[in-house]
Amino acid sequence: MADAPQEPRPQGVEVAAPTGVAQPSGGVPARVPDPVPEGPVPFYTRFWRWWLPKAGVIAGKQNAVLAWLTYHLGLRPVAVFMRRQDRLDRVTKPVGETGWHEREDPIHVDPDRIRRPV
Amino acid sequence: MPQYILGISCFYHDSAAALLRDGELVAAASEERFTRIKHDAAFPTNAARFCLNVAGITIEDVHAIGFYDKPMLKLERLLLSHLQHFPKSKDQFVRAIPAWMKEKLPIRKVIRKELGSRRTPIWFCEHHVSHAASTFFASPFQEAAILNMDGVGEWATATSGVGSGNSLELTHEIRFPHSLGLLYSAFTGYLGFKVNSGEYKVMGLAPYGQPTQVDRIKQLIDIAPDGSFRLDMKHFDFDFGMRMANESFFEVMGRGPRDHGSEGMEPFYKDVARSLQEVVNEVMVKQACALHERTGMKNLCMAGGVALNCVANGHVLRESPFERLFVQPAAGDAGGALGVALWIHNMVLGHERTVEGDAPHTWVMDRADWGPAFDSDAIRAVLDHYGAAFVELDDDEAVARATAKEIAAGKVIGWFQGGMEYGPRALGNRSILGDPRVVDMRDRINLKIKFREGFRPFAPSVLAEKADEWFDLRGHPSPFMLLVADVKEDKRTVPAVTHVDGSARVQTVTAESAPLYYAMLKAFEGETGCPLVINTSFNVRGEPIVCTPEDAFQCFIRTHMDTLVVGRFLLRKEDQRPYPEIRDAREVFPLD
Repeated sequence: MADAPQEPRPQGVEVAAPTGVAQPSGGVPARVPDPVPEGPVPFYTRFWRWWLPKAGVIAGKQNAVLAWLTYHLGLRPVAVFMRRQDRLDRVTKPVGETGWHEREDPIHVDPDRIRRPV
Repeated sequence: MPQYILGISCFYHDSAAALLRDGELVAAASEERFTRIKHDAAFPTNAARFCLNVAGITIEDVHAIGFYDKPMLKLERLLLSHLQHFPKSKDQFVRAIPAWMKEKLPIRKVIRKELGSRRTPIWFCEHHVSHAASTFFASPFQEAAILNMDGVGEWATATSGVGSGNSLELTHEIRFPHSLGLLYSAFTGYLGFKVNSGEYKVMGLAPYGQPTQVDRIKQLIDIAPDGSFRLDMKHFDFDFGMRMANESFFEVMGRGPRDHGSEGMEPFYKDVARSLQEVVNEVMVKQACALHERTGMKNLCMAGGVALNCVANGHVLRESPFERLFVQPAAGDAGGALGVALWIHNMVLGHERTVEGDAPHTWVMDRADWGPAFDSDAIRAVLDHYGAAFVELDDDEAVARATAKEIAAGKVIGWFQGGMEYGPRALGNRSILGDPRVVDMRDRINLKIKFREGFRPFAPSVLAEKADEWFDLRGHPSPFMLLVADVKEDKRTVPAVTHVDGSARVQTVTAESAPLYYAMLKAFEGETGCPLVINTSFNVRGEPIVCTPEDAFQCFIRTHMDTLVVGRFLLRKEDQRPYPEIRDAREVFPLD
């Protein structure tokens, strides 16, 4: 995966960290600054450049295995239990019946819930 | 000490940040403009830094941070979808869960880490409340009915309610998986365009077809008299699978999907696009009528991705009883950043809001240029770096006159002025301009400059006071290019901006909201007698709209644009040397 040919990535614009001084450009450089020329690359930097992509691939495979296990071992019992419930309301209803639901839970004015991501 | 509120939207598509100071917008921008990745969904670190820099503050000076949806409620929907469809939902589950574990569940921690914030309170707002706040609290209305429609938020796919003063209440909703936005996206994929990106192409394609497929589409969606709807879910896979529609969908349509990226467009697919547009128009108008009947309001505010469908917006305005309509320029998810910030200011902190009557008015969104702006020194440095040949003009009046002359001479102009626009439309700050009277101008810009499909239409920018002479707008302003109106029969002398059905997506320009652009239009009218120009976004296909002078210069060099007007500097293509180091756009930006 690490050796796969990569799409050329557009060069982005890095915005300067806030300095506390107002600027209409918002710290966006008008031109992407020239890269600073690199000196000799230390051994540990070369090592990490070599190892990190491989570690990423390994972690990705681990993630996939864990996700698969979670899905089949974790969710199957619940799914079997819920199989017959149409919680998503997918069943076809009589033609023309309203699809509007009255909102019963205005959580955006609940002082406790606006502080939480639920 | 002013009170700052930072709004954040991210992780689905079009992430963005917006900053309010005492309830007034200071800066807002989409992350894609900085990273140069179209529809970038990453956390908007660059956009947030930009906003703080414009105000000259650090994150510790911010009073509150807002996030535009409720991730846990979204996860609830996701899990329920997977459970109901177990084990068919495996692929989507395996693909979605890592992002949830890494970013979406620990959202509070991610926000603190990315922004370097330690103590600033973080508030979470429902997705559709963010949409509603982004339109109502930015509108010039003291009270209005509100209609939101998009793909999906947490559970809601469409909501309606009422806003009054500094408060709003969404009283009704349609819930996932019944979604007009997702139906539109399913057809976007069916027609061979990229889902969540090519929806506006479907809208542009529609006028080329006939509404012969409406009956087939109505086998997929049941529309009630009150504008609500239910999808027949046996034709769709989007709630659990890796594709939007299934074979049953193709059977109903009588033909398989068009190949992605294939050349040419068969008439059948054009008819499908047109028929879909008719269905969307019908739903939107019925919903607006039902909402008017329920609320009795005169004003309507709309938001959500579907509100970017300016054809349907035009129908709502003409065919529903509402007298005035407001849609803010970032009506899609990018606008959620503004919405959550306005929600905190008005509803959480309870600040007064007055936009009508004699009392001092609070902030109203009357322009879209909330992004980075660059002074002449910064622009000159870029041009000098590239060794570009340019002419420096004396003042804004000279810029307006010179540009008008170039357009009148049939040239295509890159126009880079002031702050970058917030939202998907270029509104005269990062635009490509041309003469709408030139017959082949549309093909020239589509094929040689933007490298995009030949059927894509262009929009006109018109002097606001002349808009009703040229377009059937019936006195309604359209400052954010979100209304489509017919070109008047006696004014069909502008083929480059008149779509095949005689319509145009109009932007009305006033001297107050865009003085330089207005002056340029005035000068063009003085030259030609025509008070409008072609206005399309300053980018090529697959590229986000240009952000910096360097982006503009590179885009100018890469394409067959004739002239670049960047600040007070005017550059002609024939004066420039070759730039082999600037790669062809099609190598840099993958086609969308």
